[in-house]
Amino acid sequence: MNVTASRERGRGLRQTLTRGGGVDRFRRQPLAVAALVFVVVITTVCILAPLLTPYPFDRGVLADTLQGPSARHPLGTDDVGRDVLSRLLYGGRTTLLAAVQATGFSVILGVPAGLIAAFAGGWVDACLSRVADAIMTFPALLLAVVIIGITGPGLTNAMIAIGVVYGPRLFRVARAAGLAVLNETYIAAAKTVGCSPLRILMRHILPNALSPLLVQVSLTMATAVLAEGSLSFLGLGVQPPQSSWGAVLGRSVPQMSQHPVPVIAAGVLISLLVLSFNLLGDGIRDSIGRERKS
Amino acid sequence: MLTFVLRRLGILLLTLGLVTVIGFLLIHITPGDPAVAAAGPDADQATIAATRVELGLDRPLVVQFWEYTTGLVRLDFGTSFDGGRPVLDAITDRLPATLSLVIASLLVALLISIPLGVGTAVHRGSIWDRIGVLLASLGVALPDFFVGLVLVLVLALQLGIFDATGYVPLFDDPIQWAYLLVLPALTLGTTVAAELTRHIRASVSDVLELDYVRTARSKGLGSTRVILKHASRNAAMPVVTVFGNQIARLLGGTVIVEQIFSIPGIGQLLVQSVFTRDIPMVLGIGIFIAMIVLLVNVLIDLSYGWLNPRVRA
Amino acid sequence: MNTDLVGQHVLDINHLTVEFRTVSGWSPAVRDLSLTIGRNEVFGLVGESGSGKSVSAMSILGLLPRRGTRIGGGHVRLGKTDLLGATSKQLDQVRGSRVGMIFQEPMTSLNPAYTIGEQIAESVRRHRGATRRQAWDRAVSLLSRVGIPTAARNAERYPHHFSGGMRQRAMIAMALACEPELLIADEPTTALDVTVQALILDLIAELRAESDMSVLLITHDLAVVSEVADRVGVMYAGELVEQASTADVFNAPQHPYTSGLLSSILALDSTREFAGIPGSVPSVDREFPGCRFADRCAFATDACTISPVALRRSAGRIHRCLRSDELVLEGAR
Ligand SMILES: Nc1ncnc2c1ncn2[C@@H]1O[C@H](COP(=O)(O)OP(=O)(O)O)[C@@H](O)[C@H]1O
Ligand code: SF4
Ligand SMILES: [Mg+2]
Repeated sequence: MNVTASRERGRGLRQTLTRGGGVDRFRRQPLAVAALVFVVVITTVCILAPLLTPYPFDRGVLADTLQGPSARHPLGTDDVGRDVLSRLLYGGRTTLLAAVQATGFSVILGVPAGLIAAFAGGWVDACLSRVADAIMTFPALLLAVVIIGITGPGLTNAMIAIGVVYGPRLFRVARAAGLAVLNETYIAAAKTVGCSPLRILMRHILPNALSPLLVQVSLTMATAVLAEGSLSFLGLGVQPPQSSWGAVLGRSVPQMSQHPVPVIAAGVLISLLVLSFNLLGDGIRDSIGRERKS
Repeated sequence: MLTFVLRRLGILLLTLGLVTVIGFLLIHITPGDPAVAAAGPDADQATIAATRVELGLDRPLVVQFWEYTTGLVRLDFGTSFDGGRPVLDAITDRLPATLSLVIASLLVALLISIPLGVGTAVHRGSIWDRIGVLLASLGVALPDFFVGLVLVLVLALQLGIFDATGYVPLFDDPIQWAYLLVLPALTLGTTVAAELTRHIRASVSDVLELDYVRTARSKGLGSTRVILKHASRNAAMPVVTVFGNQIARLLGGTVIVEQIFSIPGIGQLLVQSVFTRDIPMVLGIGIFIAMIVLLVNVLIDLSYGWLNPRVRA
Repeated sequence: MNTDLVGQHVLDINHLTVEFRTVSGWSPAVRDLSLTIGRNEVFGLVGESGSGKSVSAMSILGLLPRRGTRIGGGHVRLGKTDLLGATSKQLDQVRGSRVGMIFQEPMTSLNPAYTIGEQIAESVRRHRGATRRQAWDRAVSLLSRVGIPTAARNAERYPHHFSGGMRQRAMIAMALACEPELLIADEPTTALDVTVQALILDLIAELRAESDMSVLLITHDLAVVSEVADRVGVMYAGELVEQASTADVFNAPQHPYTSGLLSSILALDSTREFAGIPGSVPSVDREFPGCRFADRCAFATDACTISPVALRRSAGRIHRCLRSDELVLEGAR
């Protein structure tokens, strides 16, 4: 393969995102689009929480405890008289931020290791792959609880734990993308014309790995939201008076029989967000899947 | 086959080792002195120092690690900070409840996912298929704790069909045991069922397109027999792998579900121990679960041999 | 076998049309197919790959996927049984019992999870109500009949232990397990080595000779047909374009497509299968105003592209070419 061809095959990041109708194909999937819209709307609303709600998330009015839905408190109040809707809006920030932390951590952990495994091959690859396999067999939530049990409760610890657990998935995607590209002749061509490894990485490997990584990132976000919910529900995640969706839910359980609204609202929000990230991931996968076939 | 199992066994032992090492390191790297936790909230400096010596926490890390791992080989998981009870005793006390929950949940998961997965695969593209797929993606997204709470809200608190919480050992009262397990098992089972349904559907519809299924149909076997005999065994191969992962996930779910339904199982013990900062118990439970996961995976690997004669060779 | 000796029709296909759902609606993969197969006759169905041979064969036994497929019209009769109108239960009584079928891919047509013997025996149990023991014994004797050595032992082995040729023999044993009236063999030798091909063909010919079974032999290879078929049908783009005795087709083809096929076997160029005819089979969703072969036909005139060409009969032969009377086409000999 000659240099011109190699230049054609190696696409910049931007072209990858816009090229080949992947975006068009994504737009033609109503479920995935709806999911994306939901994620964007929820994120915006949560970021704007201080502007949207007159109530603080951490202080309540003791006279107003455990009220049902009303015009003043659309979702009622909790056991210390805090507005549930406000706590959910602020809590969404914590939930999303925690998910981003966990996902970011698994990317930082998984992607470089995956690329190293692909490039180095041999025993390095074997070792890293075995460690990834080993981590993957362990139940994620349990590992997170154990890690928290040792390091003490707290959301950051929890999310580092989740990041460790999901790192191997990103490792696999990055490794596969790296291997796929390494076998292409244009990489050899790029090497012979003296491209630096960094340039090869940026121009050839990342664009190829981007779509599958996006899929995996989206799916990991979903699991991280679930994990945050579970841990905060158990009281092992965010600590009071901090709010998160899981914390709101967990706190409302004792009064659930008389005041089910907060439990249902928080549960529905978590479920929808998880569903959205899952559908988003599926949607991205389908957009690239078809591209490969055609 | 043998090398395959041995290799897998190696990976699993590695998991076990990793859990032990990571756990051990975390205890000592992170802020917070285990001796402080062990001595209790009101202990003075002297008591803490005494506790440290008593627990052997003053010795080099390597020595402690060596003692701990050699203990593990003899199935000695150390002793709890809380009353000095052997960790393994506490775990085995709680094991029946957790096992009951896990087995009942697996039953629920299989009873839902097999008919649903096979049905949607056979009628692929039909309205039933679409509904099934939608239900499955919903089920995957639903958090265990939410499913459990909604079931409690509706079936126990509103309709009063089931008791909200509680557990009775099997041998005390088998009927009550089963009755109380229904809601927890439904909770854990549905999410697992959703994941399994997706994989069964994918796997079965792949297999149904294969040449040998056409051959089976050309022999006039009838669609039930074609699916049950010729498609299922081969479709089961990829599903079994997922099944193994799902058992692991289910074990994780027990933490939540035992909490919701007040089931005195290992998951509940773990959460309690986290709150009381009973580190040997937490680590011990982690390692115990890793061992169970290991065992499950070995069983799964062995099942490949039965499912696919080619592996046996 | 002499065509004069052929008795009543075992299989009677009449104006069969099979359609697939494509982006442009329902398109025929098989159009207006009519053919009959007599008792103990070997009928060779030939045509380039993609001409609709497999679809025709599968629709006889209702093996096409239910979704996205439909019968556009016509009849298929096995003796007195109407196969297109049959319920799936009735079809299951025909499949494997009155009609046996073997497929092109011996590597993938057997289930890897069950022994060879079991896969033959289950058909015997299903249709003959035999016990496990009896069915197994029958499987072993069938295996030894189709030339599998140490059949008793090999019956207990799995498909992956068998070579391609042995698997195809096992497929034949399976198809013959209940002594069917009709054997449908869809490209039975295409995936095999040349030497094995000849052995499998010999086996089919032998088995036909020692019973009164009829055979529908489907192949893209005219050489195969010339060795064993009594009569030949040639398919092109979903249509039967010519049907006659093997000798007639080979000596004096009446359709330019047949002639092209014949010249291509003489070309001895195994890498280019149909060197005699430029171009390739059109896809099923393509529509034609006139003769479907017109744009590849060296003899096409304007008249050929005006309206569809109906089947024409003359002197016991059937063809679908407007100009067959004026053309003198080259045969193989
Ligand atoms: N399930 C299907 N859906 C759509 N088109 C099909 C299907 N099966 C076969 N076809 C089309 O029907 C035509 C005839 O195929 P086939 O009968 O397999 O040809 P052959 O003569 O090689 O056996 C081909 O163009 C093929 O693409
Ligand atoms: S009808 Fe015309 S185009 Fe068709 S085969 Fe005959 S001569 Fe050729
Ligand atoms: Mg074919």
